[in-house]
Amino acid sequence: MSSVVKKLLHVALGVVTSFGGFLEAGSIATSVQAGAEYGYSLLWVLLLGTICLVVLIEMSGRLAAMSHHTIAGAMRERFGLRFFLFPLLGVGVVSVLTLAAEVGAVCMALQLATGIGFQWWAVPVMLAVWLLLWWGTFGMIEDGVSILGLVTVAFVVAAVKLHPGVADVARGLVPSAAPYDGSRYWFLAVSILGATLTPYLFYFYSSGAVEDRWEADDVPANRFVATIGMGFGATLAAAVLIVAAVVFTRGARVESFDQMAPMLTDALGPWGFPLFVAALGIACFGAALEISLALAYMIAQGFGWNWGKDVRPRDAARFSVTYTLALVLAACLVIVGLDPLRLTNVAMALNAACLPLAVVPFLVLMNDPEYLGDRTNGRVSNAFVLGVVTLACVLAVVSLPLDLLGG
Amino acid sequence: MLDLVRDVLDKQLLDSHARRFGKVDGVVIDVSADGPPRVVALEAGAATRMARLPRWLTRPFARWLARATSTRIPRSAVLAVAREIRVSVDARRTPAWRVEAWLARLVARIPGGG
Repeated sequence: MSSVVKKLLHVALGVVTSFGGFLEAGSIATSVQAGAEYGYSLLWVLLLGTICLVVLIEMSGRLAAMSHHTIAGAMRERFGLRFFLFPLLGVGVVSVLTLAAEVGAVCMALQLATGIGFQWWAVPVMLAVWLLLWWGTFGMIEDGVSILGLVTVAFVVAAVKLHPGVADVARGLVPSAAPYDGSRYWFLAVSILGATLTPYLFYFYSSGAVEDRWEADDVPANRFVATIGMGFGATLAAAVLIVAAVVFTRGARVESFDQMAPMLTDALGPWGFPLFVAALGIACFGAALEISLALAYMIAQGFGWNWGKDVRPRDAARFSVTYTLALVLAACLVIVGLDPLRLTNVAMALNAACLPLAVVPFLVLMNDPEYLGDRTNGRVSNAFVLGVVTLACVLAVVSLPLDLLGG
Repeated sequence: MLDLVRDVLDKQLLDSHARRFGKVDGVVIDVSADGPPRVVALEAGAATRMARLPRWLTRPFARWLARATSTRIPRSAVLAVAREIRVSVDARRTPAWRVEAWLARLVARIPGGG
């Protein structure tokens, strides 16, 4: 009995943490921009990305449960050192940029709260993330931050209070071409895909599953947690988009986090501003913790070093030094004054561009009975993931240069 | 019957204390005139790793590589070849642990590190 209760609690916590941990700089920024500039008409991209993420997360957990391998570890082993360097470099570079975007967004939240310029906050924020990783046990931190992350539910409350037209929202879920300014529309579409499908997410997930020693009979629970947690999480991102669509003048170009700050005020009154700041700060802080660890995991697993969320730094020195360096690098990008929102946009598009590198070898693994036994992928999920990833990459390669030139 | 590339190369190495201390970066094979080729040892280390990469990529590190030594694990020390490869060597006494040991000393000096 107690083991059943334990399992249920575990599942519930899994749902809550993936829910509370879903929003980060990328998903907030791209949802606000999409809503402000195109109303509900980019909602379908969010839906497509989320379905693909659920499928990828489920795969990642299944790989860990069936083979006891993490994605990065299995990739090095299956494809060899030479090939492994490509996803390692691709995902590594893009993840450092994404980490910088998260740190930058936390700094922006602090700037909004205090009036002190965001660059001044880079070092304190970096130190805070680092201290938690260095001193704390990640298991505890992860749950704590995710539960604090539930403040992002404010977006759902606001969206409901603004009474968006249900028929209009539903129409947004149907794929459509750009109503105007096609290159911007597709750039935002690819940014949403990149923000939803950040590779560190599913690389990270397999590490947690290996550490928690998942077995084959954990696969159904895994499927449930992945679907419900990510589904709820996507509702948050959709809520952000809906609020932005209602409160901003259509076509307004959102070019800084300051512009987003009053978006909850219409629905939540004086609570709107502090709630937005808290949601932005906490969500991105949680993401920064995760990305730092995910990067160190990937490198440590690829080279066979000791790793783990609860190891003391001395017992996994190379691993701890790796996340330390990643954080320093990310903070430097913020200190030099790169605009946090611009950085976020570029990082999300690059996430999309490098998806094939991160996902295609993963798909090959997922079809290998040596790793998956009789639980290899079905044809539908293979084709679906491959389709979305190809779409995201092609769109990114075409639209990123256009946007960079235009901006 | 083992497939060296599939079952051995690039697998996780665990030492006598179950420490993760690297991946199998290379397999040393003795090709003598009499008899079939035989596996003599496994290797782990940056030098072996770099030898597997294209020359243009590793050239900038050439000078540093000349000093690097890989750890050679004799075949007799290999205990099990499964998901991981367990060997009866104490990683701390091998060159493969040098960087880790150096960083660990550094890390231990930072509060909270030890």
